[in-house]
Amino acid sequence: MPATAADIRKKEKIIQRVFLIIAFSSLFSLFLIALFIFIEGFPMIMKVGLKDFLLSTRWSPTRGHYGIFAMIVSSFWVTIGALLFGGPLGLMCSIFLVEFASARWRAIIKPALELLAGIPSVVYGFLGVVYLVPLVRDYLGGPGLSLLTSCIILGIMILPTVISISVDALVAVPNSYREAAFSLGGTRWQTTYMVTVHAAKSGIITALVLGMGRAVGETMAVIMISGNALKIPTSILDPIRTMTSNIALEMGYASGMHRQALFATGIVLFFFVMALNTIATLFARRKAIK
Amino acid sequence: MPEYALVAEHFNLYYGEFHALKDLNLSVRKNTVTALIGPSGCGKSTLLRSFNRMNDLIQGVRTEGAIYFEGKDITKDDVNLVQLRQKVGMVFQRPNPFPLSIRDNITFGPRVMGEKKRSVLDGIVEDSLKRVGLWEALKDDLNKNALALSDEQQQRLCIARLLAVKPEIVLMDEPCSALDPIATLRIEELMLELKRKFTVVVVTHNMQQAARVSDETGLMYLGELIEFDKTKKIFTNPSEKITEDYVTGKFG
Repeated sequence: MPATAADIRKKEKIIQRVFLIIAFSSLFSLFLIALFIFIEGFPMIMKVGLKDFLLSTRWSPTRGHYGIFAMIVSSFWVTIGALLFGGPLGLMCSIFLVEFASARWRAIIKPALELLAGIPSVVYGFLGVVYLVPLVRDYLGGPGLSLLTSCIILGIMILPTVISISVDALVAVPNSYREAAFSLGGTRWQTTYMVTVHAAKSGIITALVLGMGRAVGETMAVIMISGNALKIPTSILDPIRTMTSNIALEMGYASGMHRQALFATGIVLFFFVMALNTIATLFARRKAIK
Repeated sequence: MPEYALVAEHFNLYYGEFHALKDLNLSVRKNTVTALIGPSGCGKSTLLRSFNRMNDLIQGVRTEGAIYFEGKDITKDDVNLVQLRQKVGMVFQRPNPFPLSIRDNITFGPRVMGEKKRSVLDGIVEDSLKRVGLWEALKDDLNKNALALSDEQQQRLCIARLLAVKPEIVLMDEPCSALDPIATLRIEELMLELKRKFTVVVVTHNMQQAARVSDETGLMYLGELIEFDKTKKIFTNPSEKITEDYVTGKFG
């Protein structure tokens, strides 16, 4: 076999093409998903009207009312609530791991957190129903199946995302900053909150935003613990129904316009998640430029 | 020994099994510039970092002997590291301002000491920047991110940040190695100015720099202090053969 420079170049080119096609196939599936939900859902939005679809609270598909406002509000609050529980906890945990933990602790905690990411969401939901729901019901009142319960469980579920990305951000902070802070008499904690966290700010925001993306998309656990009542929550103890759980709950029997309305809800979710990811990318990129 | 800022007696330092500093004895005079020279890996930076216990950040470091600062052995366990590091400050090889505003960089030290009053902090910012010759250039940009400054300005800012905690001693670890020759000269001028109020110890690779700025020079080689004397004597009439070979460029 003659292996001339031209031969090698040719071979490299073929390999490059193959990998390009493979890479595009995953992009292609994203494109197909987007296309599919748009084809299914968009005509329905046109028919009902964007305003009646997004801003009306009346959802009774059998009678021709397709307002998802209550679900949008519920999804919004559950996402914010999950962030309130999981954000500070995750951030503190990653600060502990990077700045304070000894190598031995880190070796125990990091794999354990990765395990947390691998637990199926139905298990979180199950634990929520069995343990958390009665607690909330008995001590705080209401049905227990509530916005609060969902926020707590989702807060735990976003921990792996928040922690792994903010750990990366903190690890990427050059040691010279820490040295400088110590040499000026800063304690480890002062150094962390006055310098290191600032230096890792964009990465930490990315972590929080991606955690929100995870929370807004979660379905199974939320169905099990949120109560699924169709209304705008007026207290954190009220049951809620998010966009995702509505799709999952009704897809089984929906047909016609009703089915299309569920796809249209998917479009709204799609934009929701895309907006969050764009924000995360912008923050990540801002750091890269610096 | 009031005329000495730092005194090392039979000081040894080990990184695990490695004997990095061997039986060092030296006294650094107050209000002078003392230079530590020697080839890479000879331990000069390690010695410098022993003066403010920055080696504590490295695992497995162990010391023997003593280093006295203000009459106290700072190698002991009962030393207040926060106080020590405020009195014995350090400027690093690469300028390392925090990725914060110029003002926040300078106020970091005072703030960790608990100073909160805006008027006091503003005074410290102005005073510190004036001392390093940056005030005129930066007084309208105090909220600008420090990373946007030039390398030389960054290094000056790091010195200003250090002066803001009112140190007694300023340790400099090759402070000009990342700077161009003109900036280097200006930083050297600054060192000469600093020694009026502070004691400066500078580690340098650059022998001409040691000759230009220092009053006394120590030559280190393989963890030992070979010779420590007036800079003029080290460069013109050294007692040791190794010193002569090094300053005349036969090795290193």
